[in-house]
Amino acid sequence: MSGRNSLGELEELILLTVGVLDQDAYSVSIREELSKRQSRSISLGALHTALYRLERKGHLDSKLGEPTGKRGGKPKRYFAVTAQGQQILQQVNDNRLGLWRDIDPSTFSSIKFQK
Amino acid sequence: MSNQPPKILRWLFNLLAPSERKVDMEGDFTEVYQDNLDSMGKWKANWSYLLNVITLFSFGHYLRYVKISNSLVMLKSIVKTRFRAIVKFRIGAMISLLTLSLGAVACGFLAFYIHYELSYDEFHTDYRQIYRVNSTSGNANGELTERAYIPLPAGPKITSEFDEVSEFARLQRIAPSVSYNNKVFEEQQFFLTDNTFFDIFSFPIVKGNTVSPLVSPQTVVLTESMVVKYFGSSDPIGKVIDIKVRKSYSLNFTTKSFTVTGVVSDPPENSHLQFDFLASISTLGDFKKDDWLGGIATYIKVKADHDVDLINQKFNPLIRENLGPYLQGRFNMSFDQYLESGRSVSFSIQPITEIHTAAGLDGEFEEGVNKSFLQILISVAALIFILTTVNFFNISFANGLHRVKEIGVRKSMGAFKNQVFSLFLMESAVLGGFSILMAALLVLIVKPFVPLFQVELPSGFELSFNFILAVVLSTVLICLFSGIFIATALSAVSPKEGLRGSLLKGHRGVNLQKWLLGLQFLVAFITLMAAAVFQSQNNYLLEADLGFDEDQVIVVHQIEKVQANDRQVLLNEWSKLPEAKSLSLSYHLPGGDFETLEFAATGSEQLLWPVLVADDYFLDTYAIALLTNGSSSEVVLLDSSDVMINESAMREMGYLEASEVLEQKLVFYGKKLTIKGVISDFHHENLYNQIGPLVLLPPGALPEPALNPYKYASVRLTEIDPGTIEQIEKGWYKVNPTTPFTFSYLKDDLSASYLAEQRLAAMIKGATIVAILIAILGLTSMSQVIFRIKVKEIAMRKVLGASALKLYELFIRQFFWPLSIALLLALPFVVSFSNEWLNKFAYRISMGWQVFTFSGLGLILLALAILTINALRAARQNPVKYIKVDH
Repeated sequence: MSGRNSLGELEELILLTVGVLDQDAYSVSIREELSKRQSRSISLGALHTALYRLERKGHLDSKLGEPTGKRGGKPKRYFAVTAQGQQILQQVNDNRLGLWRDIDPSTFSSIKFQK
Repeated sequence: MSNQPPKILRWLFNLLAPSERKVDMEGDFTEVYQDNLDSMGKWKANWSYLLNVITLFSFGHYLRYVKISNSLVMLKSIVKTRFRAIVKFRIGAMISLLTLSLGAVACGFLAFYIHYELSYDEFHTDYRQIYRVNSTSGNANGELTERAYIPLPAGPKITSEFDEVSEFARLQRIAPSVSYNNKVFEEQQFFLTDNTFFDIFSFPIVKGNTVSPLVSPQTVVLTESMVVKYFGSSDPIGKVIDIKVRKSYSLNFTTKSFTVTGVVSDPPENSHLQFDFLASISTLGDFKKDDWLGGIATYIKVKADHDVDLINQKFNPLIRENLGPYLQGRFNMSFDQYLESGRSVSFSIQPITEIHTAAGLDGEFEEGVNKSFLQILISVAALIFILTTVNFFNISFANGLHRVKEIGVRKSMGAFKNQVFSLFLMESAVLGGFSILMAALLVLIVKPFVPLFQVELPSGFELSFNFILAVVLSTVLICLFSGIFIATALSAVSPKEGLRGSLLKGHRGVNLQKWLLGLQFLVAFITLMAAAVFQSQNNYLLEADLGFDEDQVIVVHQIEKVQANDRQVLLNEWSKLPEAKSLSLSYHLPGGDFETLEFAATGSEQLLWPVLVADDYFLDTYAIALLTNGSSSEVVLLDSSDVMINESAMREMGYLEASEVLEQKLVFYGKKLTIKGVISDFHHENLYNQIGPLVLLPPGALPEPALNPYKYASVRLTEIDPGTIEQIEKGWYKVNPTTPFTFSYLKDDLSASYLAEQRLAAMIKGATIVAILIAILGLTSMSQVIFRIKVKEIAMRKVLGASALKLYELFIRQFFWPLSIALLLALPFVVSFSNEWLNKFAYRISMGWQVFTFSGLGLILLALAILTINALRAARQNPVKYIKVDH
């Protein structure tokens, strides 16, 4: 079992996208946003399971919207990042920035292990 | 077009989606599907939907139930070893793959076709809420007729008075000639309808007024293909088309112009409504607004939580309330008097999805398909499925016998029973994969023969998602069932037996296999004999002596469109042709529909007889013998108070001799008609019915002189050839340059009424070919197994001096009982089944022993031939080579 505090790369992306979309975050729009920004396409089924998992971990919260005429009259489920989710995103980002900070800029400018 | 994913995919979604999230997830999936539908078409959208559903499964919710093992590695090695085995044992592998793909394609095709027929009209978004109101009316004799229509004012009345009904749309079909800019076509699918048509049905308007295209009178909506036909690439909206239609009881106009207000996409192939034009019914104005005896097809949409029984119960009071006053006003007859006279009328609603399979109502818009035909096909599909499963099991088991040593080794190396089990299960799955490739090839080979089945299939069905899914699913199921059996049987081999390579288990299995082979032959015998019976009855239907000469007669249609004074000109024109032997005009044709009218013979009660209205030359053209005139069919001229009857009618009047009935009188609508001749009985109806009475009436004798007394011209030619028909066509256009020339061969018209039987026969024939092929493939592999088992015994006997004949007998004996018992069991089954089918026909073949002997013997000889080839191989082997074989 992965720990409560670990966050996979896809999960991180999804949480951030939910944040970007704000009021309009539901699975189809999340999927579109992801593919637009990352040029990475994810199947709807996989996205749904990820969203479900994030909600179970307590990083996401969801509520049902009003039923609409399109979509066969079915309501949308809107998502929002919880306080816990924001906290863990912050934590992940801090860790990352910490690493970036400690890299000596000259290290990346030269190529090591030349053959 | 439907914008819902196919039913099977929705079912899969329901199966896999976690229930607490189903509602909104379904919305998401549908939304994406609909977007994809617009951007990449149905085919890709379906696949992408499937992919989305499958990924739902493999991650997350169900993950905790799935154990990941190292089976992927195993699968890779199985694919490799199976492929090598196929290459090594080419013939055996081909046999098993052929069986599997043949069975899967046959089952898949049948499943697809049955599903297609059952899916009619399900593309409407609210198809569960759409019904048609049908009526059942009884005449004075108490004979009930079910009709697909109700009186014109009933639709609005039902909608305003029943709370459950929210909308109605009426449909009246007419057959006008439509013209625009000198382009004239005869149209068959021109409908008058209400504007609510587009609210009830899901036929999207793609151009023009989408809200109220059919509200004002004289407006019309065309399908996209009609736009191409009449307008090419120019914009049709606002253009005016003219129609010309024959005067009829249900219309108050003969010519009208209509303004195009919209374009609707063509109806899908699985719609029972196949319209080309939809014109506003308001064009009729107040015509027949209160006529409670007329009829028009009426569809209603009910509220979602409706109760069918409750709606049906409400009809009787409604009819009494409205038909009562109408009868009083028009005939001065009360509703109770109407009922007392024996007549009756009742309404009932029919779900739109059942219209296609419940065909046979009066006034139906399409032919439909018989439910019992589909039931037979379902049993055929089940038989083929069982046959294939059994055969695939047999063949794989036989191949498995090679491998008992391998199982022994695996088990003694520490493999558990369930590992061996899953090994064999996976092997049959891999074979299934190979066979799907082969099935694709098979479909390409078989496709040109599909039209032989005379069934209507969507165009390009072989690439459709549903068809491929059906074939793949059949393969999977066959593999699964037979795979489980094989795996169970083979994984039970104990390490000891296995290492010794003993075939003890095998022997027991071989006995079972022999009886399974018997089962296959049982099915093959049944289908073959049934096909033989069907074929001979169909030949009989097409070749029976009908009492008239149907060869070399062509029928020209639409004589009613010819002006009365032009008719004679037309006949003169045609009789000039040397090839035209005889010409006759008539309103009815043999094999068609007849009106039943009331006659009275002096001193007897009412006679209800069908009437054939024709001119004096009818008997001559059809070569029907006249009993009262000796053998010669001389033309008897009838005037408007003369009539002829057939033998059956004469007998019904109580006479036995034609001479006695001559000059007798018949009362017909208050007029006295003189019987001028008795014609010999001929099959004026098809062979389902006994020949009954018939009256040959000159048009002058009809109660009200009809405007168009003739619909058809029958022309007897010396020989049917295209040149002559061209001459007849030329003659037609000389007289009516604006009406298109349409004709048919009488023989084709007559055989058209047996289309359903021909279709069934063709399907059964196809199934027979598959069943025989599978049985033969099974026999081939079986005889190889027997050879392998008996090889040592045969070698020993040979060394000890057995003759080749004796060895041959030893071999054949193995198959004697299974095949004989299959034959004996098949006979009573086929006899009772065929008898039931044949009883539909008043005129049928008697099932002689020949049918069974020839078909049964044929299959037995074929089986013997295959066995002989194998037996000879066994008998002629070199004993030295096999005597040391250690099983």
